[in-house]
Amino acid sequence: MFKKLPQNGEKVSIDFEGKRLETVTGQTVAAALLGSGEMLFRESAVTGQPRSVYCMMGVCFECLLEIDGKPNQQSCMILVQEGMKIRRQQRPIMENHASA
Amino acid sequence: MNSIQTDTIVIGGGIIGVSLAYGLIKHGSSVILLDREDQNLTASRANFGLVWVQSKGYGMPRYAEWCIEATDHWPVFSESLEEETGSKLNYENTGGFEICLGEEELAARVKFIEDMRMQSRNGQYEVSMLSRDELQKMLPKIALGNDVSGASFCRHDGIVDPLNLLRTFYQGFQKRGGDYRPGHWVEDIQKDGSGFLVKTPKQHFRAQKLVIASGLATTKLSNMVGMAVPVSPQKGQVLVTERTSKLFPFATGGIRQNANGNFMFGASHEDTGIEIGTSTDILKVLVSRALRIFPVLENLQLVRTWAGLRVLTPDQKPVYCESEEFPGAFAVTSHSGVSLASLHSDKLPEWILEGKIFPDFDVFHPRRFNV
Repeated sequence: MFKKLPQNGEKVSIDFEGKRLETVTGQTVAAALLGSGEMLFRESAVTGQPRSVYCMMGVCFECLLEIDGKPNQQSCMILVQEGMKIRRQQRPIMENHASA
Repeated sequence: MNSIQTDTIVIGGGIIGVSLAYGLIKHGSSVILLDREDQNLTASRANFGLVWVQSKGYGMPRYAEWCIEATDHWPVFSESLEEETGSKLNYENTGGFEICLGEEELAARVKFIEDMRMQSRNGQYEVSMLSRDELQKMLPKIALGNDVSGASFCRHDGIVDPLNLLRTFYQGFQKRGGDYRPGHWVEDIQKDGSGFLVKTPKQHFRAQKLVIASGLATTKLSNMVGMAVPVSPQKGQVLVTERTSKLFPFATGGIRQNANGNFMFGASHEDTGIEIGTSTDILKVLVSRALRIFPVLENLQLVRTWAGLRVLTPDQKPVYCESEEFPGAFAVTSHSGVSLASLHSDKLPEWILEGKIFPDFDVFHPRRFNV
């Protein structure tokens, strides 16, 4: 979907949802994922609708991911690094329906 | 300095000031609304947004009745304000709980509700006690913690988005030609013929009527026109979580879920003077109580915390008064600017503009604080 400009960063590999992706440094995590064809970043915590990147400049908080175990990271503001373990941002688990 | 003339000057652009200003202009008065700077303290931008009745009016039954009248008017009022402005207030007449932990709290709540019923002048006080099981049945999507012993429930209670409410009043006020002047600290008020001269460093204003709704500055400004209205600050800290699905469509004193899915936890009561810092020890108390009520909320991340200052009279009840020395000057202050917004905008203008006397309105005069 996105066409990559010539990239001259170092080659690195990252882990996204258990998948190994080859990419290069000098770009954000969000850009690296989009460049690898990954569009679904998370689901809306309220409605469960799919969500992806929107502003790419740190304002809208749509691109949240879990990066190296830290939840709710703005992936458009974090540079990609060798070996990063990345997961989609999980909806909080609220399945604790009343049983009384 | 040249002065600008209008019918009514309202000093104070918080929720009380702007609800009055909007109401006054709707009742045919031209209005200038003088406000301080945006970054100055204002309870209107820090509060929890409850439209709340059930605990109000202890020791002053007229106030309890006033609150019920206000909440009963809220649906009509909010619909008309939304229609006029095209904005959403997210008002929901959900009914509200005060949730009790442990037997002692439950017993104290039962007694409080019984006292309120005894004090009520018509013997009717529409708050009922719910057992833990009854409460859980009303909350099919969220499990109660083990310590929850029961709750009081009042159908009049509800929730609104307090920031939308504030902004929407401004829209309504300006749409009707209201003159809003931020950055105008009032330095002096003088008698001016049969009206008043209000001085700020930037401009002088003249009007026949003057309404002081200036939060913590109410005491100082009211003094200039012969009214003694004591108010003092009380700090409340609040937390907000990330969003989640709709689990809890009700109001409570300490926990609410906003229209967009965030949970809010509030609010503490501290006498710290004029400062709005938050502190971990207090926030911890608020969160642990919320988690004892709804343990599943521990899966939510906190997004933000803040504090604001309540504006309280010595008995925490509202003040409505007209100056005896300078008729035409009014003071209005209340901790319940959101709950009472419906009456402040739709009813009080009749008192200010036409001298209408509401039954037993005199109980709200600040002479009750004189000993």
